[in-house]
Amino acid sequence: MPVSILLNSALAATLAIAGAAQAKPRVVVSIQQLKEVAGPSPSGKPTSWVPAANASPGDVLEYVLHYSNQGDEAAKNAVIEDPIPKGTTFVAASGADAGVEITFSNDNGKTWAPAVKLTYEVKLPGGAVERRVATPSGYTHVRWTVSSVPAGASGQVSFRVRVN
Amino acid sequence: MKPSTVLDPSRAPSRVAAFILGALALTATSAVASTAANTVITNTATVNYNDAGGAAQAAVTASAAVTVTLVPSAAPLSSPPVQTIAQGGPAATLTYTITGTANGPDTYNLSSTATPANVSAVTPTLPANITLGGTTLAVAANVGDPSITVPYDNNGLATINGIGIGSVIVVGGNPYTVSSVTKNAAANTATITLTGAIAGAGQAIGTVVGERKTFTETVPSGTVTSGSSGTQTVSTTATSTTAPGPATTQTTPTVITVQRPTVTVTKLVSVDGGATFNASATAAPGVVLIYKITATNGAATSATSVAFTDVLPAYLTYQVITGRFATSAATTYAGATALTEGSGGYTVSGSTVTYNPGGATGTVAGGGVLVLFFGAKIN
Repeated sequence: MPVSILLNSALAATLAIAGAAQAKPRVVVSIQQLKEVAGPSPSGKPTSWVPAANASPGDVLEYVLHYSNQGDEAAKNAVIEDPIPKGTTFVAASGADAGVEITFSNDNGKTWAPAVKLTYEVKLPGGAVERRVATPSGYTHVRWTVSSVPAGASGQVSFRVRVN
Repeated sequence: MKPSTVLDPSRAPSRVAAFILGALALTATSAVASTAANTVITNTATVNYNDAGGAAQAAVTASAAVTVTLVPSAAPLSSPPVQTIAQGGPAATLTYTITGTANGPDTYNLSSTATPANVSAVTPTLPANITLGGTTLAVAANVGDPSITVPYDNNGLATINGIGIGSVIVVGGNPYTVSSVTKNAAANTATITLTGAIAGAGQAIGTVVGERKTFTETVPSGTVTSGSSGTQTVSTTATSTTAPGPATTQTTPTVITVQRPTVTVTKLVSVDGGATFNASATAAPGVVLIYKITATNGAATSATSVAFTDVLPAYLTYQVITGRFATSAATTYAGATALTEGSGGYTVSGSTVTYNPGGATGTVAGGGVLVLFFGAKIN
C-alpha cells in the first residue's frame, strides 16, 4: 500500500495497524543441496541422494528449491532465479519444473529462453556471425516463473550441476 | 529483475567469447578440468514476486554451499641417473623430483627398495613423507601472464592450498616459482604471482597447478660379494595418504654400481741402472737388474694395506740399499724415495722381498699407484 509522508505520529500508528491488517503475500524460499552416493535408497534404487556438505570434482549436485507463500494473499508472477554456481556445469535436462515455466540464460541473465530456443552467437573465421543453439553446459542461469502462488501454497523446483 | 549474485568473472562479459570458451571446455575431458579442493561453491536462489495488485515485493533469497574435496592423484617421481660409488666410500645420493597432480594439497608417503646384485643388502634412507600443495586454474592462463588466478581455499593462511612464496609450481608442464600469494575471499579467488610469465601455451580453466619439490635419498654401498663390482637397483615409490592412495614408482629404477677396490700389478726390469724399464731384456752375469713393480688401483675408491711380496728366482741375488718407492708412475728410479731394509715395512728375508708400508703410503687412492724398486744381481 502506498504510504505518504506522515506528520502525525498517532495517524501513523493507525495506518500501520491498517497496513498490518491488509492481505499480503509472503514468499519464503529454501535450498536443499543433495549429492548422489552409492548405497540403496529407501525406494530400492542403487544410489541415494543425501544432503551434501562437500563434493568432489565430477560429482553431481542437486539443488532443490522449496518455495511457499506464508502470506495471506496470492503471490503473483513469482520468479525463482538461480545462477549456475561458479565451478559447476548445468546438467542437461535436469531442470525439474513441476509444471511451472522454466527458462534459461546463457549470458548471465540478459536474455532468457526455453532450453530449445536458447541460442548464442559464434564468430566464424570469415567474420560472419552464426547463431547456434546453446548447449546446457553453457547455461549461466536457470529461472522458473510461477504465475500465481496462492496463500498457503508451496512447491519445489530443482536442477542439477556437475562440479567441475 | 536482475540476478542478485555476483556475476561470474570466468564467464566473460561478451557472450560470444564466453560461449566459445564454453564450447572448448565441453570438448575437453572432464578429468582434466577440475575445481580446486577447499573451494566453496555457493548457490544462491532469488525469488521476486508481486502481490495480487501487481506491486513488486522484496526479493527473498536462499543459499547453499558445498566444499570441494581433494581428489587424490598419483604424483610423478623422477628417475635419478645411474651412479658409481666405491665400496665403503660415501653413500650414493639420489635426488628425486616429485610433482603434485591433485586438485589440492596432499601428503605422500615415500618408500624405497634397493635390490642388491653381487653385493650385500642395504637400507636406503629417505624422508618418510612429503607434502605437495595443489590447486587448479579458476581463470584461463594466457602466455605472458605474470600471475594465475585460482579458487580461494576458505582459510586465512598465507598459503593457498599449500602453495606459498618460493614454492615451485607446475602449470601445463612448465615450472614456475611463486613470488607472492594474494587472497581475495570476496571474489572467491586467489592470485599467485610468478617470477616468470606463463610460457609455452595457454592453459584452460580447471588445469591442475601442482607443487614440485625435491628430496634426496642416500643408499650405502654394501659389500661386494664377488667379482670387482655389484649393483644396488633402487626403486622409490610415493603413495598418497588420501584414500584410495594412488601411488607412483619411478619409471626407471636407478642402478648404483658399487666398485670393490681393484689393484693390478705390473713388473718391469731395467738393465741400465734404472734409466729405462722394459718387460724383458737381456743382460750378462754380474749386471745389477733394477725391478720396477707397480701396483695400480683401478677402482674408484682407495685400496688400503697395499703390500708387495717378491720372491727372487734362482740366479739372482738381492742387492742391499737398492730399495726405493714412489707414489707416481712417472717417478724415475733416481727420483724415487729410498727404503731401508728392516724399516718402513720393507724387509728382505733370504730371497723374499716384502714391502708392506701400511698407513698413508700403503693406501692407494682410486686410480693411484704405489711403485717399488729394488735391485738384484745376476749371479
